[in-house]
Amino acid sequence: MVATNPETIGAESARNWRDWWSLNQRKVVPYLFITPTLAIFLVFVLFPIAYSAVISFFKWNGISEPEFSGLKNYLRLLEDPIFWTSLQNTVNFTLGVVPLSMAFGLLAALGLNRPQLPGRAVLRAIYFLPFVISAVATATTAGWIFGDTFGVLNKMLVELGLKKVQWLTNRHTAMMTVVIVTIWVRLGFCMLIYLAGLQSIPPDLVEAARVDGASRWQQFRHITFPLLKPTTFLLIVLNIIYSFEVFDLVFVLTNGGPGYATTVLTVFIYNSAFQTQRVGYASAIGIVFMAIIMTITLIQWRISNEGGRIS
Amino acid sequence: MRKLPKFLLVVALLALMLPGSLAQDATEITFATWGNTTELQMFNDMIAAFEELHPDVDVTILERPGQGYRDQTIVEMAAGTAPDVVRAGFRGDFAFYAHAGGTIDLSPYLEEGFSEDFFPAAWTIASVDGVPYGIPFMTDTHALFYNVDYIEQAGITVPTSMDDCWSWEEFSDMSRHAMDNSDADFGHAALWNGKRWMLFLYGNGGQVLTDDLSESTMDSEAAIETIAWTKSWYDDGLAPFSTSMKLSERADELFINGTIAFFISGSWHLPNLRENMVSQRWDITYLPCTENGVDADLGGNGFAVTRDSDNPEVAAEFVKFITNTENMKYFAEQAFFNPVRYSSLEGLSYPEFNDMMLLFAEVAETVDAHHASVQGLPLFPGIQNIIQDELDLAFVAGQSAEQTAQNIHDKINALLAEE
Repeated sequence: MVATNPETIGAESARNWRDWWSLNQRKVVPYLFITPTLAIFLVFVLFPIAYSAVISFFKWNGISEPEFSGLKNYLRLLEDPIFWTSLQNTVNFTLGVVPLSMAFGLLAALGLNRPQLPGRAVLRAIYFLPFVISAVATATTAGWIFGDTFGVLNKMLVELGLKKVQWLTNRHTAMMTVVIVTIWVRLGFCMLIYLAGLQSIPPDLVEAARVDGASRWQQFRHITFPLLKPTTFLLIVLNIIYSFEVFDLVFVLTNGGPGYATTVLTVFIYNSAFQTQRVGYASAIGIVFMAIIMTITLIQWRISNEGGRIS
Repeated sequence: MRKLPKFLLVVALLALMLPGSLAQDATEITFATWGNTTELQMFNDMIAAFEELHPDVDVTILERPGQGYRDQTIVEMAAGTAPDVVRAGFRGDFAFYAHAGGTIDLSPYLEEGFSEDFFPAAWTIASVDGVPYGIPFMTDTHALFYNVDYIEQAGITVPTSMDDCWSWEEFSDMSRHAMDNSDADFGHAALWNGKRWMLFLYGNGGQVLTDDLSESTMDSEAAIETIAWTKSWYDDGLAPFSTSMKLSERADELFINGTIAFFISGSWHLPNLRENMVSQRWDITYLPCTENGVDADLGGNGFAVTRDSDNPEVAAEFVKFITNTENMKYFAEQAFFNPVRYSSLEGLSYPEFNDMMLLFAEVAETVDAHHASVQGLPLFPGIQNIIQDELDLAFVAGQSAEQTAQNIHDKINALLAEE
């Protein structure tokens, strides 16, 4: 018999809703949890990327009506020597920063993982501090340290009877200085992640190796380091992405100079968009830049997964 | 008992609605500007005076850092959320905003002959094809600051009139002499950018573009000579590499801490030098010159009304108010700038540095008209960027003057062709 009473219909639909909810609750709830993050991601990440991809096919100064230009921005990019210089600089910067910051981070983590080390909590905080301070403040401080004429470092060199070094104004040393400052910032982050990795290694394994007569180096080489492999892969991926995205530190410290010696891709994108008002062109560089980062990440991910399967 | 809270609630709601309904009647406009504490205080005073004259208008000041101000304005114009009134610099900002449709033509709001009281170079720079897209407010220019203690140590006498200005060669000699015979580590430095370098180019009889602004002339002998001379500052060790175009150390700080004997920059440094350069004496004199011409840096800015303004008439009235004779004069005197209205010059008296400011004003009169028209182009930020990048390569990376001039020439022509 079909219910016609409104109250009966209401009760029935409430029951249906409860049945549906009890059946699908496990599927729906996770989506409710990720909805705020997803909304932020869509609005502030995915939409700007998609919009940027569209704009990359237009000639646009940022305010007036965009003018369709097809692949012109991409073709121009291929012929632009500053783009290739910026790409080369970004790769050089990454090759300098990633292995060194990870190596120093691992060393610091190994040292600060010893429970008997006095003041290790304070030391950990000191190492980690540059990573949480604003990059602009860090770069300004670094400028006072590495400045040619009144930098602290050059003053010290002169006091020691040595010659001043053009840390930031020589084509050959400027990138090295930027790398050193970035390692100083990044070291604390690598140390923290490695510390987490070290603390997840069961002490029994190291202890067993020690009882079997393994030296400290052998313990590290055959037990600790292989077990840190997932942490190392994670750090490689994150460090490469962070290195490709570096902007504020370079912008404040050298403004991409001397010449184009420290002009990395992000600085080039900024200059194209806001100095020369080629927003379409800057978007094209941004899209190519994103493709490069995604390719590197996918390669890392594949290697990481295969590594996981082998182990 | 239950009726009383209900009554109070109604009264409270009415009370809350009252100011809201009054506020709806008031016309609100927003005004975005940068400035140091003194400048912002003066703008707030002007706003208070304007609101007193127009009780139905509410002006909100949006204080923003000078660095990145232009970027933020462009982004807001693109989003259609720009403030009613924005500040625009004498570096192509007025023309760029106007060409892009970000600002409006102010001529419907200006009386006949309104522009006659303004310096022609400043009025030209705020206009596009003769149409005013803004009202200029102030100008500044460069002079040669010097450390009096070092100059005395080195036994140097500085020029006392524009006619006595040092030639480029004489200036380089004096810079070396000061470096070698005083406690200065370097002779001199400038607080550079591509725009500021142009004062030497035009002062040497050169031009960035042809008279009709259609092509580059940066491959000229005058341009090569100017690049070679400014490059020699660094090649000969007179100026620190760190003060090149893409500076890593600020020349004003090097002057204050006694590293350099001479410093090329503008009048806005006066309060900073008074506050911070206390252990050594300092003064200003005329910039070096050539026989080929005379020119000065054309710095400055003014105000424009954006297309996003809901009340363009009120916004234009506000811009006219803050740029009127009295306000312009007041701002110039207190913030150490030069006014751009002839009427503001009458009785102009700076509370401090009066002689220095008069010297700056004398130098400012030499601005080349063609120089001003180049700076007024919407493409000027791009041109400036090209000059800046290439000069940095010349100053610190060993690129020859000839190659630098050719690169600037080719890139500017490519930029012009693109548009």
